[in-house]
Amino acid sequence: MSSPASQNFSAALDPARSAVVEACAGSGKTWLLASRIVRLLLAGVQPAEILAITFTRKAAREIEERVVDWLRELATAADDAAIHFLAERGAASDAATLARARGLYERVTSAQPGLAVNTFHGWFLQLVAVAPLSANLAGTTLADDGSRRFEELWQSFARRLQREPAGEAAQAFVRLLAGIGLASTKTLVRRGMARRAEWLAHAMAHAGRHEAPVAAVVDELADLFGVVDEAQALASLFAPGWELDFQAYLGLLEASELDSDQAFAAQLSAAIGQLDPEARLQKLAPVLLTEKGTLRSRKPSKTLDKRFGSDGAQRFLDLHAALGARVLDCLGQLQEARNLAFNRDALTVHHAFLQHLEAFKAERRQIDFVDAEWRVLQLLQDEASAAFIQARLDARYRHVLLDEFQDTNPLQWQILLAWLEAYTDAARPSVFLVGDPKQSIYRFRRAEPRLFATAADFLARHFAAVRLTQDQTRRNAPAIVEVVNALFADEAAFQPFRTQSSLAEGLPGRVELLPLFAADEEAEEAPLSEKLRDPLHKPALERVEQRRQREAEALARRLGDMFGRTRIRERQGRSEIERPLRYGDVLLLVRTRTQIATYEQALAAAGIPFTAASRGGLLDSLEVRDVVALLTFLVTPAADLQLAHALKSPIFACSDEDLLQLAARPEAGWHKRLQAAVEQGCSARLCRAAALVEAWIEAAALLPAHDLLDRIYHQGEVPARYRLAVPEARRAAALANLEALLLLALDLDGGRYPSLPRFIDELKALRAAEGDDAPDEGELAADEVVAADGRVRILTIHGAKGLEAPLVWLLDANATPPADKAWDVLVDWQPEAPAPCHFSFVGRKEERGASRSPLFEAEAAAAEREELNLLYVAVTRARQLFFASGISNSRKGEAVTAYSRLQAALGRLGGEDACAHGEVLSEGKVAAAGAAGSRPLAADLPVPAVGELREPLDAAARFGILLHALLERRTESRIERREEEGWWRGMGYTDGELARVRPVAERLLTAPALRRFLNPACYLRAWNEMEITDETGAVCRMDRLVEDVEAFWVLDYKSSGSDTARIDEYHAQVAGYCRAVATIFSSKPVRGALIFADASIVEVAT
Amino acid sequence: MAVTAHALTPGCGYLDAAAGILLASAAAELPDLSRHLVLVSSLPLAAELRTALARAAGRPLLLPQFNTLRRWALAANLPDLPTPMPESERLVLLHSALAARGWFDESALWGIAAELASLSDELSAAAVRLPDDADELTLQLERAYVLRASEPLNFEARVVHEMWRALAAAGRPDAPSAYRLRLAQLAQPAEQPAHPLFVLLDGPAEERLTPAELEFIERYGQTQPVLVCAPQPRASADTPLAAVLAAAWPEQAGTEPSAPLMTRAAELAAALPESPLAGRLQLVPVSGREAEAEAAAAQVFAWLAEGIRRIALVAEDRLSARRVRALLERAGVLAADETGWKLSTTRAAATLDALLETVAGSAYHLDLLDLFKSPHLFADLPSSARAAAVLALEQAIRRAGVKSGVPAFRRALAEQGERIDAASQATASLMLDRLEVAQRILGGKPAPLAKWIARLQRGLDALGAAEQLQADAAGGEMLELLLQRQGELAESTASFSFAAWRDWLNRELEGGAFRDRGIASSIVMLPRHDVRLRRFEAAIVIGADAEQLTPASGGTFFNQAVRRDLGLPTREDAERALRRDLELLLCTVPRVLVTWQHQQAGEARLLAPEFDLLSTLHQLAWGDDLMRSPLLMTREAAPAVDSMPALPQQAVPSAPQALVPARISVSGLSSLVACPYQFFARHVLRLNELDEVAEELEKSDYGQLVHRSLERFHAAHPSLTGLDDAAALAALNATVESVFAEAEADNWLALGWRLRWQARLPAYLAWQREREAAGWRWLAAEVKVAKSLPLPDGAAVELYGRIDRIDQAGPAGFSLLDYKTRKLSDLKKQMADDIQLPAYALLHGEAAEAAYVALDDEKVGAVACADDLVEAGAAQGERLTAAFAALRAGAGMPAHGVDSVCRWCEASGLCRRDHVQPG
Ligand code: SF4
Repeated sequence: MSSPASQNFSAALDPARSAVVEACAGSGKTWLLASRIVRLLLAGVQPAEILAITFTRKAAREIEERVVDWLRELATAADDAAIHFLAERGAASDAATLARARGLYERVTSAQPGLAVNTFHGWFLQLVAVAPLSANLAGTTLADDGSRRFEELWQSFARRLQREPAGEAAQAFVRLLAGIGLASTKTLVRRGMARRAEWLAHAMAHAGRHEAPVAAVVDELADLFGVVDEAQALASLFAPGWELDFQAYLGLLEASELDSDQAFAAQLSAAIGQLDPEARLQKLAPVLLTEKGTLRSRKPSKTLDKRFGSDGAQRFLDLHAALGARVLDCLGQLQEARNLAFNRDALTVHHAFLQHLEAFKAERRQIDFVDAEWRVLQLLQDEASAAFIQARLDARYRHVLLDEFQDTNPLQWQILLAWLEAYTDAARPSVFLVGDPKQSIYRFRRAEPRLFATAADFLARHFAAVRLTQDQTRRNAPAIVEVVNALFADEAAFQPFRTQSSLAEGLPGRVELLPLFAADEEAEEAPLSEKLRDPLHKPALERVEQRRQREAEALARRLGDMFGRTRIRERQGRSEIERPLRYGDVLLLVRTRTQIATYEQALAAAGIPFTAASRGGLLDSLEVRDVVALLTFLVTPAADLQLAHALKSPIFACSDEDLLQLAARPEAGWHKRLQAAVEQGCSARLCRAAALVEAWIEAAALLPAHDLLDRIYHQGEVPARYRLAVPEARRAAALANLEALLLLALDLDGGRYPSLPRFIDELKALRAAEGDDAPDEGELAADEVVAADGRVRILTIHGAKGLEAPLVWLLDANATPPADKAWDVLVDWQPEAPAPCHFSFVGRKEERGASRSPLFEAEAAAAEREELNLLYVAVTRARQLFFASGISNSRKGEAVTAYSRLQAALGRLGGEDACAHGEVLSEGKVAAAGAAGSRPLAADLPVPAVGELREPLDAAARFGILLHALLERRTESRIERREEEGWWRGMGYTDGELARVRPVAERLLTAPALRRFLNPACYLRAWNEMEITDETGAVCRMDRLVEDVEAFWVLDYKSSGSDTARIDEYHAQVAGYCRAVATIFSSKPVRGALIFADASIVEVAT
Repeated sequence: MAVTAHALTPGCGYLDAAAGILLASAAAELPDLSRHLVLVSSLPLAAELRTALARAAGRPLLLPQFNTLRRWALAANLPDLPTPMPESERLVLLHSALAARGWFDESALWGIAAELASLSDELSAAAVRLPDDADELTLQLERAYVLRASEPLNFEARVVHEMWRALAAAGRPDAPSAYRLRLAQLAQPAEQPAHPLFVLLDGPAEERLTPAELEFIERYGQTQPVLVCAPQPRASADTPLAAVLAAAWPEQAGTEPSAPLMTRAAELAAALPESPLAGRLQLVPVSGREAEAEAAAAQVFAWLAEGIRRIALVAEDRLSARRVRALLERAGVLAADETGWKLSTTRAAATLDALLETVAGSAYHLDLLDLFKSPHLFADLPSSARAAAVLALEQAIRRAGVKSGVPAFRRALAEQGERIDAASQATASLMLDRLEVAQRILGGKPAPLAKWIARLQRGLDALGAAEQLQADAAGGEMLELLLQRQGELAESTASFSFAAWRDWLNRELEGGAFRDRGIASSIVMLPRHDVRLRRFEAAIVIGADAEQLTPASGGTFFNQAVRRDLGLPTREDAERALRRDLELLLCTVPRVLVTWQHQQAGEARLLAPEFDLLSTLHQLAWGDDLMRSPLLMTREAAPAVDSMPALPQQAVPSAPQALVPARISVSGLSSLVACPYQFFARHVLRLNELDEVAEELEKSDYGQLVHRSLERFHAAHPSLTGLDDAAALAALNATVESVFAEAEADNWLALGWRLRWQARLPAYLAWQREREAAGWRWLAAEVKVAKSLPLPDGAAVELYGRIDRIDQAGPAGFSLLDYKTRKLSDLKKQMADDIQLPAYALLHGEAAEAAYVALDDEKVGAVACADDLVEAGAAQGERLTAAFAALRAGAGMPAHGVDSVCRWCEASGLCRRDHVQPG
């Protein structure tokens, strides 16, 4: 990658200055950030003085890798290349600088602490970790906010409430259940939990360290909503004398001859008579308002004049309008009052739930990311602890670099502020901030794009930061950039927008919009047949989404046409080459994952290799379900269906006939039937299955899940069989999934307490879990078949952030943006504010009330802006080709969609009906390059068996070893050894075993015949466990060697009696020892003897 | 006398050289070396030195005594020295001291205590004494942190200081101090038989020995001959290999090397035309865990084929290493394991944990079954009887849907009656009895740890688990560990709750290692620092990325500056040790393969800097970065032909006549119509899902409770006449509450469902009054109906079902009603394909109307089936008989469900739908 052409970047890279850079997509933000790091290092900054923060771990690793690669390059490149490198980054290129530059690689790779590129999360955890004592977080583990943990919390929360049904929280909870139902209550609690950091900040700011923050917050909401309760709302309408105007209006109605008016009059009169204000309003409202809640229309007219006289008519109309307004106002207030009550309950439950969460975590020593964020903020906002944390870190940050700043949330910004605040003025760091508010697409993670401007101002003011913009992209072809400009230049919600330009001059590019796919009119209504469908021959007709089906087929067809034909350009080193399109060049983008399956099916049917974009589906895939069914059967032998499932899987490849044979058997349970079938003759498949299953049942009780799975895969020939039994398009995925399951078994809970039933329960729970908790499909290995051409990638726009591809295709582009969610949290956190100024719960859309409408409008505007950002991100992923397709909306009243925006933009560029812009890329087949060099295979020679299982020692052998050990301790002669209580246990022997050995040892030690060998008074020297080497160099060990006046004695203890069958062997062994000793000690004869448990002694002939 | 130091060239000749030195020094005594004491850095090295001695001597020898310094010192009989305080007792002491101060959450204490203990060990080992005065420590921290005292700083100082004092006050030395005292005594050999000393180190003495050990050698040398052999550090060694390593890794990390890398590389290349590393070291990037394991295993196979046997597997990444081991085992290649596994990862520990979890969670059903399925339990029962009883118990629990509690399980068991055999029932309830005993034992009040251990032992005895656990290799070690702790803590009186004790136990099992000694092999899996100088023919470093192959980091307390200031080992020391390990590995082992996952889950992972530097240097000097692609595993063999799987086709089985059912329920008919294969699975093979124990009331349970409440209400009030609105509502409400009571007691969230239903009650009553006004009278509920339909071949098929409710108007007017807890609009959409209502009409025979009652809207309403009920019913009957006739004649049952049916179909594993080629 070359440098951004524009030279105003020297300011951004100047290590002495702080800088804020707003850089468009494809302009090389990573290049800039990494370059600044290099410049800092060149200026003599220590790696540990640099704090770089980006948004994802992936990006962090990428930057780190980039820097190290560059430094390596600098250290090894020829002088001119290194000088060029430095010049590109605005650094001096004198000899001294060059020498320093070349040394950076080593300095950085061996620095302690090293250069760290972190994520916000990682950084917070690091900060928390250095203050574990004050943060009371010692020994905690990190928990994630997954759905499984929430389920567990939700259940235990309910139990807790149940224990105190009269408590405030339980009462509020019951009111919520009655008012909005179980599911919505749960949704509220879950969403509230997700926003707890904001709640904590809000509560802290508005209620202080108050014991009951809910009351304080509710009081504020009451002010905002302008009500206290429903009674007050009603009282405002029915203030004393309220009936006068209604009576007047009634009088006029009664004067009308129309039947409808008469009916209204009757109703109104009944209403006025009602004592209960609420019932009164209920009756009264329909007189003035329509069912939809709008004012009934009454217009001046001749008939009206005739009816009431012109004055009367006017008075009637005035009264109607005024009373209608009063009723509407009261209804509005009532709504606000209900919302207030709802919020009181919801906040009470929310608060109680968070307390429950705290207790839950404390019990398990868990913290989660929100805790980390929140505690870091508190630690840093306290002057003393902030200073302590800075001192406590091994690194001293003097330069802070912030990447992707548009994705920062207000809490993170507050933490950054507090962090910068903690520096003394003298030690102020330089700050470098880069980002692109146009690419802010993480509202759902609370990202606040407006922070970019706030932060830029702040840094300009306090850090004298220069502000730079970069609107030139090196990624996108000019045609793509033209469409981007046409799309956004006049988009009011996308301002300020500066026209972008492309540095990839001459790169052909094209944007194309496929016509919307519409439903087939005739197929829509399936012909109604007279007779009922014959299920054995005709499948049911599913009302499939034909429009999407068509779109998917068109996609597959088009890609198939372009593959190997359309020529694209690729950078290679410093030059460009032209080559045909491969599947790996294609990026398919979707807004959400929900519709992906249809596209995947179409690609699979067309034989186009792709990487499944589905996530969290590992345990739903058939191959994994096969294995899990087998495991389930292994621990629950009553699971007949699971056994049958496993039998039909490729692991056993049994047929339906095999199953029928088992179904016809009389035994209870399929396991027994399988066993019986084998005895009475059955297919080879069933026989094989039965044998394996029996072996695995036994292994299942003893082996950890991973070891069992490995055995199953191996003995069951699992990969080989799936290779045969899965169609080509799904084969690689199936094998990857099987592998992923194996690795999951290895990884789950760190392999702690591995029992198979627990593993299966865990898998069941994981499968039921939604979202991030469910394990992902296995990553496809780059198998040889597709390695050369790669795979089409399907990603969400969010997932494609930071990626680029020659061809990008936005699918389902005509989908309407997602609607607001009901049962959510509404937070208003202004970018410059230290805490949110509003936090409330929101119910159904039509019940939102008027008082919060500015907030809702702001939310809606932010949502619209984010839709535009998503489109910007999608288009700018494309290097040369950008396609979009979609399906026609069934609902009329066209909403604005990505598709309609693109259509308009193309129209602006090329006239009314334009559906494409740019050049047609040249085509032509080129002979495919030879397959990538194949890797060497491990030698195909037979592998010798290595290693052996040691037989566990039998009782006799154990007895012998313990006897030796005891005797050795009692006759120690070389170095005294401490008699440790329980030493035998350390050797793996029980007290009982010692008790059996001890009398034998005593017998030997006291036997008169053995005195000469065991009593130091009787000999000159003695050694226990004496090791010698013999003539061959082999090492052998004698139980005891004794030297007395006349001879050396080689002694061997035997725990048996002298009548043992192995006596000859023993003799030979001792004789051998004697021979070896004899070569060492020639002064005296060497004699050998065997000593048996009964204290008998047998001399060995030497 | 004096200490003689020898620096030897590291490499495969190292041990032979050392042996030669030893023999030369003892020349006068040869061949009797028995007086000599040889102290090695690790025991495996002793074995290698023995053979080296034999080789060097060329004649029989009486060998010297071998040991490590530490083992030797600890085993020596020095009766006057105080015994050190066992680690376990010290932790309890710290725990109590911390608890007394109330600084931290109770649940954090074991962790903090362990951190403090290891800090204390570090201080002792480095012979650092903290100042006696706490304020002085604060001052020292202020200096090192360059920070004025503040609350957090004071707190850190205070925690450390007070705990240090608490330990000191115990009056017994800790293990490092005791060791130091022993060394001091042993350094005066006057009191001991004299042994010349030969010390064989695997690194420079200053790095490998503690100050106390160094001092011991010095002092010992004053009276006895002492020889110390250590490998020459790379900087001073004169082999080409050492030169390369010295150029890549300057001794002092972090300081500027004398010449730039390029220059050093050029010098190397000039001096050494051939790279000494070429062929010795290969760096292999891989793209995932399995790829890493396969690359390593393939390399082992390749080496074995070359005749190489002594192979070291250095497990930087334990999980990948475990995969490597499994892959090797598949081919009959076993690796001995010197690293060991945490006890907590063994099956035996899982049994223990299942027991504690069962006790802690009041016998939650999943925990109980996990426990009862353990292979270690009930060893005194015959295994078949045990298995049958557990199976019976599981079925009883599933059918009854009980979540927890032994009494509830016992009830569930009793309810099974005939469905399970008496013997299994008896055995199962016996097992439950024994579990209750164990629960009682383990449910006791807070107690000292030793008592808790005793309780655990009794609990295991009650469950008949002790024997099997003892017989299990890991189980035996685990019980042994507990016994040992029990002994150490016999005097300790501090009391702990169940939770705190369990916490303690978890930490013990996490800390305790289990080494599987059951394998003898020349292939050894071991930690990096144990390879040092051992003569392997080849080695693989598994997991050499920058995150895993990294110097050890210091503890929770203090930063590097403070540690340096206090004189504790810092990260630089750890870094030096890491490089030393790798240096010795590369010098001694002639073939080293290094693998690392260069990306994991899409994230880049850097190679450890040590190897990255080597690679770069090597590239510069010899134009080869040492990177190699991984070897491929050979493809697995093809499966046997007679059981070989094939690509699946759409399944279309046909059933022998005898297996075609004679009866079919209305839902069975629906299944047949929706997908014949599903019908095949359910009604021909008769395969059904086992019942699951639900945590919470589910939508289908809700429907049942709604049905039941209406059935009961109408049985008591067939008509609403005579009840005013309030009374009717009160009566219905009361019925609903009693019907839901059990579910609410079981899980309070059922209240949500009950309230949902109660909100609909006025609407339901209004609808009921409308019906009555229209002349309908409630007649019966849950009516079983059946009808035999003749088949062409003379046989018949019986269709049967159960009708929620029948109303009557006049003598001949019957209305069949089916309650649905769904919205009316949804029901209406599905009426075109409806089977249930016409089938009921067919079964009932006289109905004038059949309708669904939708119970989930603001208003309750009904949607009636087809205009001509009789005809619709007859059509269903005809379709049924036609299909059955065909089935009996051998027609196939194709798996052709549509997506919406398949999504919830339990037979999708049988029909293999997802693997049938699309299109
Ligand atoms: S998964 Fe679908 S095709 Fe297979 S049996 Fe079930 S309903 Fe039929």
